[in-house]
Amino acid sequence: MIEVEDLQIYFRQKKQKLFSFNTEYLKAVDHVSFTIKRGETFGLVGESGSGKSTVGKGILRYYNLTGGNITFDGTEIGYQKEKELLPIRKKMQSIFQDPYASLDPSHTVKDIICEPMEIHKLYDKSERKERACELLEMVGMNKNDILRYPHEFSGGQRQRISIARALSINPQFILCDEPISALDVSLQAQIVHLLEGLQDKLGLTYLFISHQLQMVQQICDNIGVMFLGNLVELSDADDLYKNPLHPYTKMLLSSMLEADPGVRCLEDDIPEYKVMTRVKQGCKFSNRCPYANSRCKEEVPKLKEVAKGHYVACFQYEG
Amino acid sequence: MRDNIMKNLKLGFKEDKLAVIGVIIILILTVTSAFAFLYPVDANAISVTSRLAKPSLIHPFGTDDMGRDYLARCLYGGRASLLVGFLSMILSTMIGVIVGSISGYMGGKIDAILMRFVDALMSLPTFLIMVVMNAYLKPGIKNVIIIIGLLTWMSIARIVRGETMSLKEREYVVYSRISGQSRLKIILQHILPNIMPTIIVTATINIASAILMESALSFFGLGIRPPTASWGSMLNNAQGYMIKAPYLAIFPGVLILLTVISFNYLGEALRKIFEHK
Amino acid sequence: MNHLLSVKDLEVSFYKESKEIRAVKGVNFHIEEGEIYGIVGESGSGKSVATKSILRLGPDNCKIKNGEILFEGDNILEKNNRELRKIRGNEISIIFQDSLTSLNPVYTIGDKLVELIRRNQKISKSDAKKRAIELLDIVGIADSKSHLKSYPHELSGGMRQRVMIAMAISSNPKIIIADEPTTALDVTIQKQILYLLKDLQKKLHTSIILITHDLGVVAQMCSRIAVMCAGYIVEEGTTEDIFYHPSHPYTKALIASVPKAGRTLERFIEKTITEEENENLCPFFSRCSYAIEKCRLALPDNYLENDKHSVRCYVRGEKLGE
Repeated sequence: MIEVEDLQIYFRQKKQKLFSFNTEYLKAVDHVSFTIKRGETFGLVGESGSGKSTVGKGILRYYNLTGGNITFDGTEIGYQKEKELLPIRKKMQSIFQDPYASLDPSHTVKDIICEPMEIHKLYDKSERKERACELLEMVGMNKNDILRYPHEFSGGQRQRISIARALSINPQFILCDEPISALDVSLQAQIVHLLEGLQDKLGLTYLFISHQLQMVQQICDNIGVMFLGNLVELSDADDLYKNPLHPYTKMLLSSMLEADPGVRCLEDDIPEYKVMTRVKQGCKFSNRCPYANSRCKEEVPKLKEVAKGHYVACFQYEG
Repeated sequence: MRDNIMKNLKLGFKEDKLAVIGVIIILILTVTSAFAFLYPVDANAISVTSRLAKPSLIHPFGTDDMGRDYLARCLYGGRASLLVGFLSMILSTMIGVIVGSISGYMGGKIDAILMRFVDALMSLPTFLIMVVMNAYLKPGIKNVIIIIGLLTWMSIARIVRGETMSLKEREYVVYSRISGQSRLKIILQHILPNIMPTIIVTATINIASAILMESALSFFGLGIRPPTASWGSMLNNAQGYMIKAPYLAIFPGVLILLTVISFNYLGEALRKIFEHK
Repeated sequence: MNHLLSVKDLEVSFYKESKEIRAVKGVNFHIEEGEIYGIVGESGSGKSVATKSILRLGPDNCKIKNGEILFEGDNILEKNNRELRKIRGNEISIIFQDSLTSLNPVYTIGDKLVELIRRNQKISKSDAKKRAIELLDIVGIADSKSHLKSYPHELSGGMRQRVMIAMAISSNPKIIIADEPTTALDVTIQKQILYLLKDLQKKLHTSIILITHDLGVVAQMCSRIAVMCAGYIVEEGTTEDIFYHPSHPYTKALIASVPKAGRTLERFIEKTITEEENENLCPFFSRCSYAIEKCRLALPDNYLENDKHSVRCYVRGEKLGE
């Protein structure tokens, strides 16, 4: 359904020197490719600064692409103009992390849920209101809340409003950018249940971005692991957790803390990486990697299929 | 949120007595100068017999050098000053908000060009420009408003630009953008309502500075020309009679002072209230 | 029995627009020497307020209404400001969640550490500097000497948290309160910091009160755990008891809502709070599927499952599962 090919998103950085003629770029996303199938939940994991969120927003064309392309339902959308994008935007929606920042504090719940419908000129005014009420009930809220303001709701309720807003125009694809990270555990479970239920009912496709490995494992079919702008491993969920290949994935998984005192997770330390700066050349992980050799410091490994459906970008697994 | 603001306003004013006094003064001055025609004395009627009369029952504020009733002149003068204050504030706020929000939201080259233009205007000696412009334009209340409005919008533009830039990274704006909302609507629906408090505060304080500017212009005889009264021109007129009739300077002077202080206190109080949120 | 620190019947309230909001409603717990005691709970459960009250660090509109906090036998709540300052930072120190806002941006790491050391010990500036370098070495900051001159914003989140820990241990405190110390950090950094804390706790034999909402963190770190819900401690016990024999329905639900490989995510009892909850009943009552008639009438007392495991519930115990 969505194909991301060789995606590059660079940001121009503030010049360090007063007179420098080459602009420096921050490679937020560097040659990332993956495919999301219809009806699946695709997970992107990584730590802060890995570019996972940039990929998500790039797919929704919040950022201009530096290179590569994105195909949505057979249409190339990578470089389309805003006007041409509008029909595609009708099929894509998003839910963000911060339930406090993702709803405009000066709008009522009704205004918020109706906004996408207004943009795409769906329904008339009374139908919109009716639909907003329906949607509120669908996400487990009370339709009497429709004229209240976001600050009157708790974090979990706000996230439900976000979901209702995303559903209002019957999208096919929803970007979930850390939708549960700011919530309490009990609410996380509720929101995840809600999202899963809606997926079954409406046949939605999700791109689920999160740093919570346990949660991603639970709900995603396929998972991509990102590290400083690169996709380092790509696999189906079970395989990734049972048989992680990339040293970074291994490190990530080993830092998961099991909620079980019988499993000792804090017996060994993770070596702190000494160099603060980003690696300019070679594999981005090479300065933290215990297996790094001279080749890693010079060449960037490419994503290669090493087992069926399991891709990894590391020289260890080459020929 | 709106109820909240109202509640905050009430609470804030309860705490801030000075601001309440300020509001009362502004209201009194506005009402009295708006209904100045109810005072049955012609502000421009010259009477040679009662020149420079001391304040008395017939002339509560006395009379000026041409025997005109000073209370009537103060009332009509207030009308001119407040009118200039309000209207030039509206003009400058409008320009400032438009330029600031476009500059902040669009960013990049448009932002750079607009902001360099603002910098250039800000580095000009405002008062000198006013004096020069006044020399070319026909003096009168309309032109004073336009001149002040055109030369004071830059600070508002800068503030609005800054707020817009921080708001446009908010997730609800990001959401609207990737839902395909047009730029104009994002600015109108999501950005401006949320920076309204800041705009109101700045605009309030801007009224005070506009009134001061008008007074200064008129004091130099460049703003509102006689016989139309304005507090500034009255001060100018009073210069020659400082010893003989000091009240001629005191009345308009105190009125200007009161108005400006009141608006400043009001602005400060509003700022505090909105910050509390 | 003499505990290092014991909190008895602590009640804390906030006052907002002349309304009273009860944040902590009668909390009892104690800390032994050299243990890591975990307090888990969701946001708004009062866990942070309860522990900050130990050092009387609450905001202005917060008032400790009742209870006593005995530290080595003395009631902290009765101390005057000077005595309190002596305890703060010296005997009991605190590590906050947000290291960027809790470090003053205009001072270097070195300035801050030296000042802190000299406040608690009468030593010369150069000795204090030596001690500061030593401390940075202990918390695993490489190249500690040059980092003395760094400003907080020049360090990564993990490094800043290490500096916070160095500050906390600078006076060899008896208790360290760690308020969500790793919540803002990436998982790999979280593991490093927790490893460091555990390691230090073993070496220095201090006690740590660890406040967190992450069950994984408490399971790995703590020896005893208190579960807080809406101002009450609903269950307290050893880590094994809490995780393997949870007794309170809330604890059970909490543990079930943690995602785990090979297990479907359990649905947390869902109930949108519509009516005003009765403050004097069990805080979980309206969401509890095991509630009985008795629960509607009064707040349950603490029952002992074993000598270390207490639970505030009428329908307690393993029989819940069936």
